[in-house]
Amino acid sequence: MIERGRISSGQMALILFAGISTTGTLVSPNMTGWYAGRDLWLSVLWASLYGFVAVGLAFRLHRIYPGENIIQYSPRILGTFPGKALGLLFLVSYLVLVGITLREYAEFVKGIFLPQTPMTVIVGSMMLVSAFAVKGGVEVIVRVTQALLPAALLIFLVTLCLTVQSWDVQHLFPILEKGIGPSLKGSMVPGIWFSEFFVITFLLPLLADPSKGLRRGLIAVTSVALLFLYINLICLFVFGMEYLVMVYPLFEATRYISYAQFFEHLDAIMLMLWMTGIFIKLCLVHYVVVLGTSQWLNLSDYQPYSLPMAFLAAGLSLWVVPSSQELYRAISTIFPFSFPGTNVLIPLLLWLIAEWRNRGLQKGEVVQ
Amino acid sequence: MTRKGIRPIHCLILLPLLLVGCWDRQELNHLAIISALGIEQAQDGKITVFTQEITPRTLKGGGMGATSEGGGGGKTLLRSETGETVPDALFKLQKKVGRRLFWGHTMLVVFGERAVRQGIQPQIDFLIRHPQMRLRANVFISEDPGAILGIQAPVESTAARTIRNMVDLRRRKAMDINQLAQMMAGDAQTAIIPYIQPVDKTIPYIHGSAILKKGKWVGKLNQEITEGVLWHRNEMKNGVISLKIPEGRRDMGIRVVNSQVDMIPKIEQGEWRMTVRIHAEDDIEVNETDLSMRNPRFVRMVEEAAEKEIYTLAQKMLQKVQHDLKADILGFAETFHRRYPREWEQVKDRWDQVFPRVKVKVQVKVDVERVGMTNRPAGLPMEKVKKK
Repeated sequence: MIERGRISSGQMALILFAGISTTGTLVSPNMTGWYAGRDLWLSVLWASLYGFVAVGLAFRLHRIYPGENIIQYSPRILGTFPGKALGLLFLVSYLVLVGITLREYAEFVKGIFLPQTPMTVIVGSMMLVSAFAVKGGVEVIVRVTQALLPAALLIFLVTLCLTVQSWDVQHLFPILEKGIGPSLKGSMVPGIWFSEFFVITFLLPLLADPSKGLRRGLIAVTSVALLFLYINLICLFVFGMEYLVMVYPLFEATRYISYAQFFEHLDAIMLMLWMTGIFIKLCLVHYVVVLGTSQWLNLSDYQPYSLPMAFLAAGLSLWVVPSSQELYRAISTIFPFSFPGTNVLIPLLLWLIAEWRNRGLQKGEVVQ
Repeated sequence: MTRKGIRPIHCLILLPLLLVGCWDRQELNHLAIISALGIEQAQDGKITVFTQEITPRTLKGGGMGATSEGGGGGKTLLRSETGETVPDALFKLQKKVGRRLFWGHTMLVVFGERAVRQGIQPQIDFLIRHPQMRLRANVFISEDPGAILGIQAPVESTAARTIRNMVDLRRRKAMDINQLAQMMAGDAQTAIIPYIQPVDKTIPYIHGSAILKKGKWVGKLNQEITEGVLWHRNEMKNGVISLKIPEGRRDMGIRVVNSQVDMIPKIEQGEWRMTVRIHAEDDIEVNETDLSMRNPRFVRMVEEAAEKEIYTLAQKMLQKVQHDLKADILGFAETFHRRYPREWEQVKDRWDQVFPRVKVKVQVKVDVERVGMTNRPAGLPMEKVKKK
């Protein structure tokens, strides 16, 4: 075990919540709406199933191979070569996720706040801090989350409530106008974020109280589902079907807040909150990549590789897509298949194979 | 030197590299803060833009309005430029301004009448696409946007601020970019934009409105009809109605404190019907009659007169909007769509023809909630007051 740090299940839930919901609140409503239209909030409910299944699978697999994550037990389930290949697939997909997260953040900041600043600077500075946090180990990451998240989340939720002045609940109707189809199609987009919950496989072995792992994990999924539901409803209530033309509808909705000609222009606050969340997300996923790579290569330590991997991720974020349009096209067409594929379907097969290979064995025994 | 000693030196050498940064620094004294934008159609398909720029020099005078006079130039500066499109014109304008145009505080967008006749969909696209522009900016139509933006507000810092205050005072949702875009892209594809005119060089006046269909002008409403539409759109939260009371044979002024409109759609045997229920709460502002308001019968009389007044206004408005202009700015399309999604699906492409044939029934209910500080006609001898 090259990670010596231990975290509590509550800390795990917190970092999963922040790490998964942040980018979703920024970009998912627009793309969900592209398919689901007025029923985008229903899509979230369908998509949350991915999250529950992913957490359940990670927990089941962890119960068969306690103290190990997918990188470690996949060679034991599939045999060395296919198992290592699968591990590599996971590492690459998470490295791409780091790159995509960075790019989403950079497109947002560059598009609205810093149009003249080179992308490398925006990406590089954010990645650098995240890499330093990861270098400190898992305990540093959860402590940072604990320090930053509660205040940020509180301000975020209060700001969202302030949009109530422009709500028009009538925009909700008619529900299911074209049947259940569009909302199911739309659920592919939030499904990307919910399937990311499988990163819990890297956190479960680090728990000081593993018995509460499943419950807290499911609580995290539920909270993300509720938050997504809430933000999608806000976008719909404030802009009606016009949210479809906005790339960042939630950001526009908070910018639309105006009380007494005085309490307005909240965009800078929102940027601050999103930066906090993106930082936590980058820490989480980058940590997973660094730790996983070290375990995949059977290295004795993972911390020295944080900075080199960060360079790789920053580079990846610049060339993973050529433009912001391509980024959003990828999120609405490619990722809805690739993410649930790697994070839900493959673990499901893995679990079935593991159960089959370990059939008839006593509790605690596993096939090597 | 030890390894530890070298590190700080490395940092010192690398730090100056950061000095090339700050690409997006925005110093207040390098910004031209635009408080209002005007867009008008020019010759040969070109677009003229007007900007109202806050001149910081005079605002430095501690917000005391008096400093603006005499110092040469007012508190705001009107500029204009013509180009192929709005961004093109603004780019040309930028070349004439030493400071970077800043749109974060733009509260007002005024479209010229000719621009609206040509269609404003491209302009709405520009306004929503622009990263700095606020969707909260109020939208107006004017015969001369330049004159509106050139207004030197005597009390407020800018004319845009004055107009924003006027909008807030009316307690109604004035059209802003978000609402306009929603209406234009909505089921009926219509919009209503208030008119604004300069009364003189210091006073803007919101009066009447223009109706748009598919982003283009279809007609103009006078103030009376506009108020009828506002009643209907549930945006009439403040207003004064003058009534003739038959028994008192004199006038009475009541103030609308609150109103609530409900639309109940119904489709029966292929006939589209709409029941519009208006419920208003009023206060009595002036009582020129000799009727004592302690008598509930007289209060009911006032309510009935008010109901009749509002009903007549609604009918006039429907005649103009539904039958003359045939533009559904009343939200009928959305209401039917919500209640009857299947039937809506069949008519949505020819809503223009269906809308004028919708049978509208108006029901008005007025409650006088308060009568003011006196319940008898004040200044009238007791024996002259009609109590029963």
